[in-house]
Amino acid sequence: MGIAKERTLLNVYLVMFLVHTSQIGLGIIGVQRVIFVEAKQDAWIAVIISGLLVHLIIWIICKTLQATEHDDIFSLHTFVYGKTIGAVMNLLFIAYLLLAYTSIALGYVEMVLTWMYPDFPLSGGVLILIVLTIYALYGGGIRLAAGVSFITFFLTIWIVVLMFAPLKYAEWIHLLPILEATPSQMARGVFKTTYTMLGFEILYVVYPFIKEKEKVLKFAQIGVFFTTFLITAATVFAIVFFSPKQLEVTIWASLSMFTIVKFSFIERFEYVLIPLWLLVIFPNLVLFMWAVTRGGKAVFHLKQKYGLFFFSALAFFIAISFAKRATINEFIDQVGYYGFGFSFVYPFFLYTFVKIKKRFRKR
Amino acid sequence: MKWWIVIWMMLAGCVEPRILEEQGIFTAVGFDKVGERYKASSVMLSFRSQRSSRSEVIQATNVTSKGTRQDLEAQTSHNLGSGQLRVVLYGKELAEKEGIFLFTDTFRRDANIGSLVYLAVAESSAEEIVKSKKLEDVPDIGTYLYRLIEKNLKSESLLAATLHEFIASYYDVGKDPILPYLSLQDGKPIIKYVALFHRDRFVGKIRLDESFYIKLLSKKYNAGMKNIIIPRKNIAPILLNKDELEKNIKFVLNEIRSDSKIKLVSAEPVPSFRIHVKMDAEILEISEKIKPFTKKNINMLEKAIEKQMKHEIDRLLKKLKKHNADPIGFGQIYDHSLRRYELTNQKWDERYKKAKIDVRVDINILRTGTID
Repeated sequence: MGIAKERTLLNVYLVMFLVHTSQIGLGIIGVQRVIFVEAKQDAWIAVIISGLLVHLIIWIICKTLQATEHDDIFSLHTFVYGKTIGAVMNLLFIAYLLLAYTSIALGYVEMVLTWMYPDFPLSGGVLILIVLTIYALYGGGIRLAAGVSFITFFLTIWIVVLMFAPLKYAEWIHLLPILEATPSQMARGVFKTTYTMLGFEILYVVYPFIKEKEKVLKFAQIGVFFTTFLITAATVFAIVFFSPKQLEVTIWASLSMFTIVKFSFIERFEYVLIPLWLLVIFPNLVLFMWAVTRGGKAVFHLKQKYGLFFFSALAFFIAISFAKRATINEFIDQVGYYGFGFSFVYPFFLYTFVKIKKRFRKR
Repeated sequence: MKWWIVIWMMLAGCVEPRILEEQGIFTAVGFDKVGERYKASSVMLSFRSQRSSRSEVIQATNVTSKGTRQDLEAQTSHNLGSGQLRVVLYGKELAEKEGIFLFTDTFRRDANIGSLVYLAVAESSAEEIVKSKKLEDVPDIGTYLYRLIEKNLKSESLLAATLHEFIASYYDVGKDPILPYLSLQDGKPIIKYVALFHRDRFVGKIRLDESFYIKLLSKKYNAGMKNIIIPRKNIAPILLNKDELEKNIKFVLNEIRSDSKIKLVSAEPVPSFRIHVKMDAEILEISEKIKPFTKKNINMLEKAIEKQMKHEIDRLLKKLKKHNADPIGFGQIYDHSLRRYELTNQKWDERYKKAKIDVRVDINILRTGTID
């Protein structure tokens, strides 16, 4: 397991796009409020701190994967914990990936329904996304997923330029005084940022498919750096654009900021942006679903082709059990906690366990 | 895999189509308070397949502002859409007695409405303005008002009018919103005044030329025009005709570029601010002949204009304090300059009245037009 055929190997520079596009998704649209509630005008510092944390974790993940001949998380789990507990851990990880997938789909559909099609059923929206993921993965697999993240990056990165338009209404005084947040406020701010930063754990699953493994760390770090940079910018812009109390009640801060962007040929740019955002979350969806099917293969020896249909159906049924925004938000928050555990805490433990196991074996 | 695509395309048909001829598009809405009820007057633009579009005013009264919307729907065969809403007017009485935040909140929640919609206060009633027929060459009142406000924001003394700015200032502790104040002149809507607010309540109006100073103090200012009238005795040495020194002389400054800095000097016992305005300008017009513009003469003129402006700014600040309106955001500066201090609206209301504000103006006259 984990040994991929030569033809499916990915160029190492793609790691940069894989990590970056799997991190950037729905979070950047609305995270500002969540961090701001905790860390106030120092929210952007919290983003930078959690970005640094991700850099550290990426390093740990690469170290873990290089430590033994087991180079993905599923075979590592069986190696470290043995067959039974390993399978349980794998199931937990698959469950996390699947829930993350569902939360992304739900979050996006919820946004589309609020802004554009209030009379469209939630289940219909989710179904479209799931069908799209199946369509992409059915014939393509990881090579297609990598291609998707590469292309969508270039199709959407120009949006960054438009982020400067709202600065016309910026009040830079909102950033002052700097570093007023207490350590505990800052810590909570950092914690709240983590949901947006999630996605890099995909590295645990993609790693075996990459050529030139010694360079993975470098390119992954570049991807993470770019993510942190964008989220920091989005946070700073939201702080100066909205007044403090206003930001605390604005759900999709980035989107609301884009309501300022106006061209002579299109007055309401946000209506272009929302459909376009599908391209931003699409790599998220494809990568997470692909990772889920990899897990299915490792645990149940289920062919990825069939696993794809099985897990997609499962995701659909989880998704349609939600109807209200409040419950969807609660669900997304839950997934966020779960993700924090798996991606920000667990890598340190896994690394330690792998080291101990290795030493134990040598003796 | 082709059937996937077929399913996908069929799903796209689920969303309700909107046919242009069946739509009635609001371009302006006005709210008034009539007794205990609210009256909404809105301009509805409808399109016809053959002829040009036409606008008509429809009105409804109800006990709640949301109820008026339903009553409006009952009065037309068109589907009402608010995506093209440009201007929202509030009658003075409504803005004064109830505040308008609750009305704007509805607009914020509705994703159909952009945050660049202009808000304005209407003298006497919003209904009168919406029903006015004199619109220059523009087909409907909504578009006329939109252009009127837009032009005044860009090149004249109006500081803010958008929904976004109103809401942002309303939420900002220590800053009050400001909106254009529309009045009718011979049946034509014009902007002569600027409406001052305390939170979301209309508290008074100032002339557009006074509002120039608010704009001057709040942000970088580019390419505006300003009349300034100074007593002749202040520049007596450079006058050609030295009689009647008690009279005034008028200057028109053009191409004004300015930058201002406001600093909190001390927070206790009363907040004390120092404002430093730097301004470059050209002289466009003088009401009488004066001596040639040598360096010395220009200096003298600059001093006199600075003195006059400082005087006018002081008078304006006094007026703002009297109305308890803080459109420049002194409270915001106060709040953000102090560490570990949380300003509340109540605290600022009290301190603002006692605040000491020291103004310094530096003018640089760059050119004097094509003649000396």
